[in-house]
Amino acid sequence: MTSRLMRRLDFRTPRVIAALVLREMSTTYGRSAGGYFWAIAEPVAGTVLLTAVFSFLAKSPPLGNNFALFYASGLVPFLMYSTVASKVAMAVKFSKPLLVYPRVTYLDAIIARFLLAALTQILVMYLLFTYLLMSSDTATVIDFDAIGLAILMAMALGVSIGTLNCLLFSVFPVWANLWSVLNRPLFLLSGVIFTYELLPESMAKVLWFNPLLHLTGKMREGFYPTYSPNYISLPYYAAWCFVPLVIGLFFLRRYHKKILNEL
Amino acid sequence: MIRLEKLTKSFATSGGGRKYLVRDVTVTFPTGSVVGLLGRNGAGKSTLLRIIAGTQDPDEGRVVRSGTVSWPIGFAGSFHPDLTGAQNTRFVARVYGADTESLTDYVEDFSELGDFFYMPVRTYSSGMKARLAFGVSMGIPFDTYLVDEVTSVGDQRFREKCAEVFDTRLKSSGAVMVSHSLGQIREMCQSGAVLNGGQLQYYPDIAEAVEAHMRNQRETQP
Repeated sequence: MTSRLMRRLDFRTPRVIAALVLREMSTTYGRSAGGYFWAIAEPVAGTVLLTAVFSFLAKSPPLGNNFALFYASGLVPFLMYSTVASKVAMAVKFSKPLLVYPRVTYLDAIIARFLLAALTQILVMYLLFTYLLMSSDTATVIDFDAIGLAILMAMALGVSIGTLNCLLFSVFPVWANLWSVLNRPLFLLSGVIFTYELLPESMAKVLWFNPLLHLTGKMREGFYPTYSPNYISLPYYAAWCFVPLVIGLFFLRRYHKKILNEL
Repeated sequence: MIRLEKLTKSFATSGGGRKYLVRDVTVTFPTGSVVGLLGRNGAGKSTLLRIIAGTQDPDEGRVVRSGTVSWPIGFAGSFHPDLTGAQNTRFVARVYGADTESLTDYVEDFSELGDFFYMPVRTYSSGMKARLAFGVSMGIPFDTYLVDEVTSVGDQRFREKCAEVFDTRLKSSGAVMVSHSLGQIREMCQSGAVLNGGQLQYYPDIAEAVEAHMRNQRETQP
């Protein structure tokens, strides 16, 4: 009993996670020229593109008058969720060679990938919005509580969906293909280019069930003081953050060694 | 000491049956002993090593380990191809709580990779990878080393150097070894365990183990 307790307290897990994060940093961001540049390029390019297209099509964005701020505030939480989810989903697969070291567990791999993706995404968000707010004369009052909550929501959903997919991708490889096909239209349906209030009622009823719509709404609430999205249901969103996570962890815990050695 | 308690591990076979690698096996490997693990090709020696290491689960039973146990030391280890030999070494040092500086110094010196030590592992030949793998595993002191066929590393001179270092390690540590070379098993191990037909028989004397293994080999039916 004591020895088991001691083993828990010897800082083994944080050390392993730190080693994995460092390794991941030099492999993901260190390999290609530019490195971290690519992490920030995606949201920036997306914002620029959406801004360019929609400022031709419309006089003003659905909220406020700054196109870039509107699309960035929808795109960033969306990418935050999807990046974290896809990083976590590949944790076991990419770490397969590492798990020959008995010290490295599947959970270490998941936590390490999550930490690195989360920190990178937050840094990218900080850089992008600092630039946007400083370069324009947008007189917006920022609600840090709502933004903080939205970041938390994006992370939680990312870990949850990512963990379940980590299991499903290994057990049913075809699900990985299906998942990427199913996710393609998600960008258009998650409130990145519109707000919930603009949807026709029949569509709003259905799309309400898309948790990402709640996420982008919460983020916009933080940037637009006059915008109060009252369709957001945190209990409903929380269910998405817990149910897949619990199912994923339950089966991974039980079967991860089988998955790694025998599938 | 490593004790297998009521250990059972089986796989489904294509015929719909199950093949038992071990079935309700209870065996104790004493502390500090160097055990040669013998068995036919496909008897499940590598799987058993992974179960002892803890990276694979048995169907039933458990493995009790006292002291630190290495990962199954094989040819290539788990080196990331895009990281240099030095970076990969540092990773293992961090995971096992060894001092990164002194381990990289040791491995750089031991593996004789020269400038390649600071080049990505994907540029290595398989012999260079094996040298790196062996260097890293010898650089970290374990109470029990699990060794899976690392006999044919590099040229004659390097092999001798490996054997020398490993011998020194085995003065204070135990090991469980798999090797296709019976000569090497006889030379390095004091005791043996023979895996045959779901049973694992432990022999305190390696000569008896080798003999039992040869008997099994001669029998035609598994």
